[in-house]
Amino acid sequence: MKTDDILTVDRLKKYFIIPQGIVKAVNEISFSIKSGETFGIVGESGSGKSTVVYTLIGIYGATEGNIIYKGKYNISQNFRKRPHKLKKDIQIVFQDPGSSLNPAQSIKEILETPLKVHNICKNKNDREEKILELLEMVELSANYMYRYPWMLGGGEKQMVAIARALSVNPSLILLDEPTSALDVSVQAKVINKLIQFQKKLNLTSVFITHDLSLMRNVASRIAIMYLGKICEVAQSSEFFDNPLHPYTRMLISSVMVISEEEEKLKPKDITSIGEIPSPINIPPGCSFYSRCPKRMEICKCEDPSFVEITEGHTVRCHLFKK
Amino acid sequence: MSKPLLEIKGLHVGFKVFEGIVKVLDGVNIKVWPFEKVGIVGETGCGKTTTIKAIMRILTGNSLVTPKSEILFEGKNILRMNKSEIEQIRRNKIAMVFQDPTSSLNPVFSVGTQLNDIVKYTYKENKPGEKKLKEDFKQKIMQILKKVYLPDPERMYQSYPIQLSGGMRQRVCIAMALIGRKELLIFDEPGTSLDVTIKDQIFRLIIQIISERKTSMILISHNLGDVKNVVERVYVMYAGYIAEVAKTKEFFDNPLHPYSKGLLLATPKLSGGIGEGISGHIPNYANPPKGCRFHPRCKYRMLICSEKKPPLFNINDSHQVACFLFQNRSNCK
Amino acid sequence: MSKNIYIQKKTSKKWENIQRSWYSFSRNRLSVIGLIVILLVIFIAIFAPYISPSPESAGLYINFSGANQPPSLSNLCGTDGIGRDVLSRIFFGFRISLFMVIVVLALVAPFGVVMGVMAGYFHNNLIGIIIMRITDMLLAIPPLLLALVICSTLNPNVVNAMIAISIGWWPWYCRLIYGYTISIKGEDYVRSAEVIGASNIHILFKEILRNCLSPILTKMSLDAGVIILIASMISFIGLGAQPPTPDLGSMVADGCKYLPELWWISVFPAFGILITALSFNLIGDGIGKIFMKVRG
Repeated sequence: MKTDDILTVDRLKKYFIIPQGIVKAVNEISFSIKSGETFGIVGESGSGKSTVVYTLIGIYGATEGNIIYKGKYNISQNFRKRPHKLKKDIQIVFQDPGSSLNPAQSIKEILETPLKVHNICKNKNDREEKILELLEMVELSANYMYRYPWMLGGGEKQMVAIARALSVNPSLILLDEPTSALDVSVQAKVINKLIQFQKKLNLTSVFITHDLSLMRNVASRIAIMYLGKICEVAQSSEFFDNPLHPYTRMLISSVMVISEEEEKLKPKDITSIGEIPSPINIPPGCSFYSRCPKRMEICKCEDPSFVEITEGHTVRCHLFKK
Repeated sequence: MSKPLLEIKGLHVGFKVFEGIVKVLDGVNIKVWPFEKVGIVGETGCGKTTTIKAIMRILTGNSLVTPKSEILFEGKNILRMNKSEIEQIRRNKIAMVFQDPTSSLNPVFSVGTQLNDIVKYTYKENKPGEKKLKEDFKQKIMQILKKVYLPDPERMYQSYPIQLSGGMRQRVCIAMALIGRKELLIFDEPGTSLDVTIKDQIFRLIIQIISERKTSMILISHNLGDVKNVVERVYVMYAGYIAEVAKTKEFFDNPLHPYSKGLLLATPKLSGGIGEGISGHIPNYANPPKGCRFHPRCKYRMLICSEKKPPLFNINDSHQVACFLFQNRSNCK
Repeated sequence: MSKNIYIQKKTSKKWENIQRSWYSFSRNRLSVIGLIVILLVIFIAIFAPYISPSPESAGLYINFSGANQPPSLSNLCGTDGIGRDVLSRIFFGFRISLFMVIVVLALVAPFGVVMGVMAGYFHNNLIGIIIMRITDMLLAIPPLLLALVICSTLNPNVVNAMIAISIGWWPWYCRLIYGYTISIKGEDYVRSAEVIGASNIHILFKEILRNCLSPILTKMSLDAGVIILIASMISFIGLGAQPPTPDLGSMVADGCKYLPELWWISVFPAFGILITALSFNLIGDGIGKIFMKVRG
């Protein structure tokens, strides 16, 4: 663990026990994030990416493994057991802007809550000024203060959610598919704003999405998850120029693109087949076995381990053995 | 030249709400020829779902369609049809696959029951004397389920929607649209709630079905990438009117309308690069801007844009733009 | 921008919301009719002493010479066995009915709702389990039966009837809000408040309860009708308001012995109960629709 790592996740597991069996939503993953970096996690539904983020923020407590924050705090537990001051240091922006803002509260009340909880401002007037500042930061006029979430468009709601997250000056921000529910032109605005904030405030962020084209433009390092495990980790450009894991190649080949140069990037040897299997009672061996066009006998019984191919590019697949 | 299968002429639709009358559709003109695949691209709130609902005559109670609007299907105006004629259209001519497969399927009935209902409804009038047997219906359903590549159709017949994954539900919805002989299939954002790889599979299925069945198709999406490899012509819709229409290749090679250009730029590229969004936001339909509805957000706006509504100017046979920048380049429509 | 502009904007937004709610409510003609009738009943109840043709009929008044008169111009609803004007007694009877409704709802709704939201939020802990088991026990007994049992052990009067109804009524609110809380608990905005470190009180009241207004208000207006019916039933049996208090239910009971010849003594009070209960129901429908549209 290096000293400038703001977050280290060590063999994290999150299992859910349901009547039908055990759901291994996060099945032993490890990664570290440097300060100021944007770490992207890509995956489809059922991959466990949202569970990872919920465990980081504390909605779930880890079943096993450690999450070390800023080198000294162990935040593997549920948020109720975490120290109060850490709660403002790590913030989250949820996927669905419609449900992340309380429909019964005005925008002012929504933005006031974190300020009140952490005593950011001394009195009511200061709070109002801070809220005006926040609205200006996300380019919403002061008129929005007394509006209700249902009066706002999706992009505007998401901007309010971002303003709420940034109101307490966090060091780490988790973004769970923040623009999936938004249109393309609105998404571009929100993403550009996020990139701006990140540079200005030197934020570290974890960005989750299933949209690879978006990930290319946002993350500096990308990890791809399938059924609770990380399959491949690489720097952003390396990830797209030289994808190694069959699932990575399958995912990139499925992206719908609009220009010729993008078409060239798509691997031609793999097309998507099959569906992600049920995460209940996962069979042993590689989690991708059932859909992998390049599977071998060994993949059925033995789970591969990580191999470093080049600096910073690791992949977990029997096709690549040291 | 043959007549278009579906022709929407000057469709104006408004809704009565608390704020007054919101004029959503402001003169939509769309043509779909027989065996043609057409895409309608537009962002949330542009009116594409309203247009489709107007075609199927399923707009909500507080909707107002102006008398001059026309939706001609095989020459007859859908907006003036009576109840039995509309039922004929829905039974044998036009089918629609809605956006969200989860809410399109009734959760308390099995897939088989729901498909059975549709089969019964579709074949109700075909042979009024002959009593259709339950087995015949089931045969038809099995055929359709196999057509959409659903694994194990027997088990699918008994399953409930909640037991199926998102991709499978979407396939069931597509199967529902394929029952009976249809002239026009409308797909409303078919990949929205699905994973990338599943969406890819669904789109390939749609392309295959359309080419096998030789029907016309309207594909609606808010992503330009979705329509690129699927449709022959692209309509771009903004704030209730058609901003641009062109053949697919020409559109992507040479988009003309500032909104189309903005959309293409804003789409993140797999090879790197994401443009700025389009500044501003969609207009308030209760009080829409005078003249061109896009002009408040347009970098190239001129004085005339805030005064007169631009008609669709012909650039060439298949490419039209509703923008005064191209007034001189064309012979006015 | 000065502070005054915000206050203006805040009040103008609140006014706009009220206008918006009225717009949704007024789309339903039946609900508007219900509202008009209830406003009329409230007006009558408040001004009963001034608009009744014979206010003394509501108290100790005996006029045997004018007894058992059918409806006529001087007594629009006739007179009863002791010669009291039925119409005036109905007017005063509305007072008692509305009084009971207001008091019962004011007791039952806040208590039941608070219990419900606590039980729902802590439903895996001891608090939740205890509250729900008590609720289950009380709900297992039919409310009318429970009210009758309590009334018969206490002295029969209006206040005790209200206590009896209240004890059996709060669990319904508790269970309703329990269900709502459990479904709202998992929403992103509640989670957002939790992870930011908001206190439990904040979450229960500001985040969750604010979203429960719709079912609470709808239920309260529907309940108003039922409470009137149950109160009437209790009085009918004789365990509620005692003579000479003009309670609609006891009036129906008194009049029963004179049916069918002197029909007006029962029928008009029964009609009073009917229109009040029905109108509350219609309002309840409309209120539900306001929230449906607003969240739209």
